[in-house]
Amino acid sequence: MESISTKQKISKGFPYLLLIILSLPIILGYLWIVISTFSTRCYGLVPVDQQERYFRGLTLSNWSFLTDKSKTLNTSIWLLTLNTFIIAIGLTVGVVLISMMAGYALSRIKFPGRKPFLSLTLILHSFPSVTLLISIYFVLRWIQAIPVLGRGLPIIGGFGYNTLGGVILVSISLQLPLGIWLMKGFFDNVSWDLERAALIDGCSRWRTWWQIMVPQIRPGIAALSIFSFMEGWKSFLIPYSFMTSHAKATLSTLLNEMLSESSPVNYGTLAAVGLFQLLPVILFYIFTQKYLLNIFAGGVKGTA
Amino acid sequence: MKKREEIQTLKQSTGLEWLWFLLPSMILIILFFFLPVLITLFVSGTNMSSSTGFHNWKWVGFRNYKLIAVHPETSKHLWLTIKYVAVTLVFFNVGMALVISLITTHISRRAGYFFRALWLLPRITPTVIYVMMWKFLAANAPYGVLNQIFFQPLGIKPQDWLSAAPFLFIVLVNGYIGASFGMIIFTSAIEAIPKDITIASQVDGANFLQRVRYVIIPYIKWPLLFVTTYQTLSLLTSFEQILVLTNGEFNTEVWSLWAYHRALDNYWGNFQWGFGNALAAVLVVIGIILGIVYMRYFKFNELVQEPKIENL
Amino acid sequence: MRVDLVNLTKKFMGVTAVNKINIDIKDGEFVALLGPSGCGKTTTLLMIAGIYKPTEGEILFDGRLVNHVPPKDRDIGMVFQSYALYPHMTVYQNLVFSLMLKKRPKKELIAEAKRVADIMGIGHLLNRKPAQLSGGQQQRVALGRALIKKPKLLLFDEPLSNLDARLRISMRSEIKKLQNDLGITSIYVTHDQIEAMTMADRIAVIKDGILQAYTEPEELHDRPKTLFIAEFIGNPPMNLFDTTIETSGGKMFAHLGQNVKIEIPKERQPKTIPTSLKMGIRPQDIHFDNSSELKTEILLVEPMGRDDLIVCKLGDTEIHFLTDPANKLKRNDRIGIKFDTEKLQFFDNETGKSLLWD
Repeated sequence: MESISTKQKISKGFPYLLLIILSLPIILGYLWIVISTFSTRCYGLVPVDQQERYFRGLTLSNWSFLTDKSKTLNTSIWLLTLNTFIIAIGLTVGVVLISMMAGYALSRIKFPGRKPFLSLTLILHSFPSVTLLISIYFVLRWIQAIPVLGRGLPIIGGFGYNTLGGVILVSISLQLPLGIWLMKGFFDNVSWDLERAALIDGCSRWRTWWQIMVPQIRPGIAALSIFSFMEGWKSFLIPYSFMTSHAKATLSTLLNEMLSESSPVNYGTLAAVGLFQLLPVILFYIFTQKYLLNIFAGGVKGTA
Repeated sequence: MKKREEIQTLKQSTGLEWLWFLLPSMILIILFFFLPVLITLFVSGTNMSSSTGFHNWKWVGFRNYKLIAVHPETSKHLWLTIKYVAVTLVFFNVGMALVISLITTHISRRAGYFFRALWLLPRITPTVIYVMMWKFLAANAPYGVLNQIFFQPLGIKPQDWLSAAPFLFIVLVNGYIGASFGMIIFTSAIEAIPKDITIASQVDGANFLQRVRYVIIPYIKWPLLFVTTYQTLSLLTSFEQILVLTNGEFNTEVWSLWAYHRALDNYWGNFQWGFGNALAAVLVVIGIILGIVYMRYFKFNELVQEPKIENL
Repeated sequence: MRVDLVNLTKKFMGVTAVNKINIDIKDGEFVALLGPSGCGKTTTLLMIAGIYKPTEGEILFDGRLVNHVPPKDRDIGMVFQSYALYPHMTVYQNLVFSLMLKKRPKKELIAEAKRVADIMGIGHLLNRKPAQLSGGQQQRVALGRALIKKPKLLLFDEPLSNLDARLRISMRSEIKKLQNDLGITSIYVTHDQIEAMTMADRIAVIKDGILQAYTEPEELHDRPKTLFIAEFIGNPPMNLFDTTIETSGGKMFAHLGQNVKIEIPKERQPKTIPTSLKMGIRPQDIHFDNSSELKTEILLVEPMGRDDLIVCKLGDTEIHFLTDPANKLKRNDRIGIKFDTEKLQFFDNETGKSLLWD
């Protein structure tokens, strides 16, 4: 057997080489993050100790915030994790539920104004919602003034300004156009005979939706849930803009605060907190990768 | 004439169920889209700011817009924004996305999965960490990674590359996130090309680049257009990463960030709601126009089928 | 239950899918809605089911107007072409779903499921999910689901189209026997005329949304009122060719190309003679008869098992007829054929109407 010629070896290896070069910032960057969480200090990619000796700085002290009861961070990491989790879950449940309802009606029920509503969702899908943050501030302040709903609810605090509920509500709204469009797309693919059979068997429209149609779009629900949860977990701008109390911070806003402190920043701890937030998402992503890809593939149907 | 009675039904359906299905989303859309748009447009016509408060403001009509037109900083922000959107779009959100998807679909399946997953990392990483990572890639010696791995070995004097080339970095930081969107879409489009066509072109003697030009690109025409328009809008209006990276300093304050700063994040605490909203309103209008164009272009009507069950 | 459709019309965005259809169905009758794809038969069925709203006209169940009654209150059962079984439920759950919605006690559900499963022969499948069943089994479950409600009306939308040929034939007779035994009024939509002919008491032939004829199968077969019905009904299809009529010496003749003349008996003579007309005769009404003066050359022989289908030419016209395979006819044979003139049909070419029956 002749060996493969050098030229062929190079052309086979070339794409990999190119890919690695292009991906270098990502590879180096994430490597740095991991290394620096375990180093007193990090010179480039090399852990370094107080005396600036190379390869001597490995330590676990950066991770002390996990157990030291608010000493390092001035706040409990677990409280913040809880807040972040509440926002992510609230966002996910809210988006999925509301999108399933709207998506079903838009896909399967004839009603006046159906087409305009559909165009609306499509326009909002590409809308620069972030530009509305300024005005949303006004809306949240106004909601805050409503008794009970504004600030008096347990856990989420209410739906007004400076509450977890308010942040959740805004986050849901900004995700809705994508969610509705996605759910509608999945409902479109369910057979009409199935729904007709349900109506003949005696279901009302609500029952048909919940007992018959929703079980048929499980892949869509999975994809949307995963996507929304990941977005909610890492969300920064909305919690940052609309929640000011220290006790209501999330992991993202904590990181930002640590970064912009005037006193010298302990980058090791910062990186550790960041990795702490990132790790669950990476694990989550690895296990749910193939469900997630459904979202984008489904979104451009009809344009290929 | 037969005598006919209507059969009494046990519960007359009102035919209004659709309303209840749509109510939650309608409420949220009104509260957090319509209302804010109206507020934006309204407040942009006032002089509201933290100094006037909510009670002492005056109606000023188009004065804020005129102010934008003559403001000394306007052209700076405008050109920066255009440059930033154009460069990031061409080189990363579309360009790099295309390159990565082309390469990963032509190497081993597992390697393809691995690299695409790698490129998705920036998108799922919390912003502060992601930005901090870039800061440390670019930092001066002895902390900076790039300095340690490339520049010093090559004999180049180490420096803080972020402050040396801030524009480059806002492009890089946003580009590596933006590329993953196009990458996913192009990948599934490329994988949907019928195998027969690819084989036929290889039999005809086409090499890789020729196949890209004559077979692949024509096939992914629509996804290309879709990603371009969608990402243009996205780049025009997002500023979260830039906020954390440079906070707009060193001439990196794009239009959307300028609006945000003026209204909500001013260092001296002088929140200029009126002016900030006028700046935002400009983006809102552009957004609506582009959104309608995007909708027309992508054959909206084909995506809409009539329901096959009727209300009686 | 009697069903009456009075001037039933359905328009979709300017297109008239169903145009003033009038049909009366007697209690316990099995009626087929027959026609080519897109003729409006399924739309009519869906209006009867309450899925579509009639644009005009009335639907009456036992003389009462049901136009505004939702499907679940119409006391109907429906079987779909795609079976439409709930994929995430077991066969048992599929069957009892409608009863469960009515909040019947569990004991009753189990008893009823058993009753129906016995009738349909699916008792051993109750715990499976639809995806684990064959097409025929799924169709039985679908039928069971429709029957369990003891409905007053059964609707079928081309239920056998997705089954293979063998299964189709056996299911056909099963459904017919079932309907006979249970005596439920049934409306059956199909594009397959053999199905309609073998199963229905009366057939409504529909074309482009308009009712062409509504009568017993035999009547449609022997006394077709339009060219369309003549072409559509009957297997193999009727031979139809342009012809000219000659009357001489008190007798009437039909010309077939050059030199070929057939005498038309009195009972089959067209009532009027238009400028352009067609003559029709079914393949089973032309016989191989070497003593006949009418000669032809065989172009093709198609063995069909019980008969051979022979393709030959008379003048310029291609003719199909059936014969016993024992005759061992071969291609290029020159043979004689005889028309059974008692079975001739005549149609006006322009209006498409029969010149014998009105």
